[in-house]
Amino acid sequence: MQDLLAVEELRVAYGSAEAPLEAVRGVTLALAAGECVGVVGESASGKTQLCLATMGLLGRGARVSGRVRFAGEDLVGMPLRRLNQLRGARLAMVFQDPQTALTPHLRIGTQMAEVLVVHRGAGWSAARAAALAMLGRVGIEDPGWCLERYPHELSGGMRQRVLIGACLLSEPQLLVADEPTTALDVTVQAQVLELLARMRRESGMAILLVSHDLAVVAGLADRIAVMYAGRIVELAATARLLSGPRHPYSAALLQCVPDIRGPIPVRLPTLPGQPPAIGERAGGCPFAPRCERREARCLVETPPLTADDEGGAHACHRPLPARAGRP
Amino acid sequence: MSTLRFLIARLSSAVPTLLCIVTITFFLIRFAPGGPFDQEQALPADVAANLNAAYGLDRPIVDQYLRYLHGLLHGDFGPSFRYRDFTVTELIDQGLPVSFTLGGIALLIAVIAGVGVGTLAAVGRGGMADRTVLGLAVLGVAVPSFVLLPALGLLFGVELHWLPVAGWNPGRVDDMVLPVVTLALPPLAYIARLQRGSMSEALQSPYVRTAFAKGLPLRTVVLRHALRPALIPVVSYLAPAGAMVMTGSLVVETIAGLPGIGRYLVQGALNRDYTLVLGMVIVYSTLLIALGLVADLLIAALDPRVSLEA
Repeated sequence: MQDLLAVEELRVAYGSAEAPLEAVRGVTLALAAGECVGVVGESASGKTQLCLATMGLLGRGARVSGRVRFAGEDLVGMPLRRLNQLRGARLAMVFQDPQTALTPHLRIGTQMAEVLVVHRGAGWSAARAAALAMLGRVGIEDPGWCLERYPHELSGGMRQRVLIGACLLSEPQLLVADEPTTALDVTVQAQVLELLARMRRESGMAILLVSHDLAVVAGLADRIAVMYAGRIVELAATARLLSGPRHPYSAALLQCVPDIRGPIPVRLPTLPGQPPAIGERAGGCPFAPRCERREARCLVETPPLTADDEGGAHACHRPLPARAGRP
Repeated sequence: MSTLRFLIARLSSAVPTLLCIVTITFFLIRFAPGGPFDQEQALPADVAANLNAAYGLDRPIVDQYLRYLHGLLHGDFGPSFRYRDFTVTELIDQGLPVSFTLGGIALLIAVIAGVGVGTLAAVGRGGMADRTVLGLAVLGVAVPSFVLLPALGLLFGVELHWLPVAGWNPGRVDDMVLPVVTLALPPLAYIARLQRGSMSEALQSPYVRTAFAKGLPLRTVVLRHALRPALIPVVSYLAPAGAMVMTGSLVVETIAGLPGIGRYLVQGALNRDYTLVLGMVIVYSTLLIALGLVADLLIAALDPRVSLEA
């Protein structure tokens, strides 16, 4: 079966050609139709750049190489006209901060309806009627009222519902969600994730779900990709990754998730150090300076992403042992 | 009716503002050495005394000030000291329509063309159009009107015979072209730069990225999502732009020989024509206050988050 989205050796670089600052350094990732893949990593690990590249939204300063195939068509270098036929229609994106992602001077109804007007050639009144129905579907209590509001009159959670609703109007095959819950209260976070899960069940769309929070991704994703310093360091089915991470970084991330059920530790486990700055990524494994399992060659030789025998892949010279007797 | 209440509050706050301006101007011009009747040869003492008495200049200055205010309340700007047989009201009545037409058209052109050109530059940032606009904008701000107008007159009047170099015939459009262009260019250049900056910023904003993510064509993104926020700095600049046009009109009207009010401010001050200076200051301050008010109303109309508060 053909993948819906196939990212191949994607590289995104900024700055001069002599001293490029690479935000994404060779990412390969595929999504099947209807699949949800989570991407997890610290700030500046290249997650957002990956999302923007998938939508053809990178700024003029970005140099992109590699391929981003959507339903067989390469989005990298695609003419704007064709790109505009795809995005908003067959692939859509939800952004991190709903406070700023809506145009402040346009009513909610306009901002939702315009998607159908531009992609389906719908009339404004028909499009607004569809927007009204969608507001109900995404759990807005009074859709008629909401339709006439300006963004600043809504709460953060409502705005994110509106943004998700605007994305779903055109029934996309792929939803790119870049930290969709990060800017929201914890209770609202749960609601928005529940909404994404429900919409996925109802529409069968694929989701590329990006978060720095493993817990956010774990509930929704079929597979999880862990990113570090612009690379995928581990990619595995969600249950496998959670129960038996192979890459030391994945394991460290998992340890940092506090468990509210057990006794409260004196110190919350943290991962000491910080990722290398974007300009300082020399040879070797980028995680090596913080890694407890590093050996001499980790500092020299960059480990490639190698498939393991469980359908996942990891980029490590000394991976943690596979756990026996996993589900 | 918050808009109405806002208008009433702002208009009533304009009265003390104007009063302050009138008061300061009244006493400042009186402190300037010399007087309206000074000439190269001193007037005979009895003539001077008669003139002073006729115009009330022999009264205590506070008394003169109160009498002037009293006249203002009745719409009387007083007699001109230098243009004998004319009251200041008559001079303004004759000149204001000319200046107002020129300045209004110039301001309108400056805003529309400046916004258009600035938007094009921002959309094609770094490209040919952008660099052309930036270059012309520097030129437009840097070249003074007393250079530009004669240069334009030389080209389009003397060489090409397309337009008159100077002069004014009521209702003739071609008389207005060169003065209007000269007046419009400096604020146009400034507005183009402002708009280029604010539009570039708007195009970087998260909501514009959302609009692009929706697959909207560039034109829709620019016009529907980016333009209104980008206009706010330009609108805020309306009153200073108005002042720029007014000061420009001092020079332009003199060079082109136009019967506007621009020349009265400078001439009135040089001649110590006290009432004329005051009248001009009142006209100009009123215009600037009105432009500021229009700007505030427009900003509230552009951004639903702004509520009108006086």
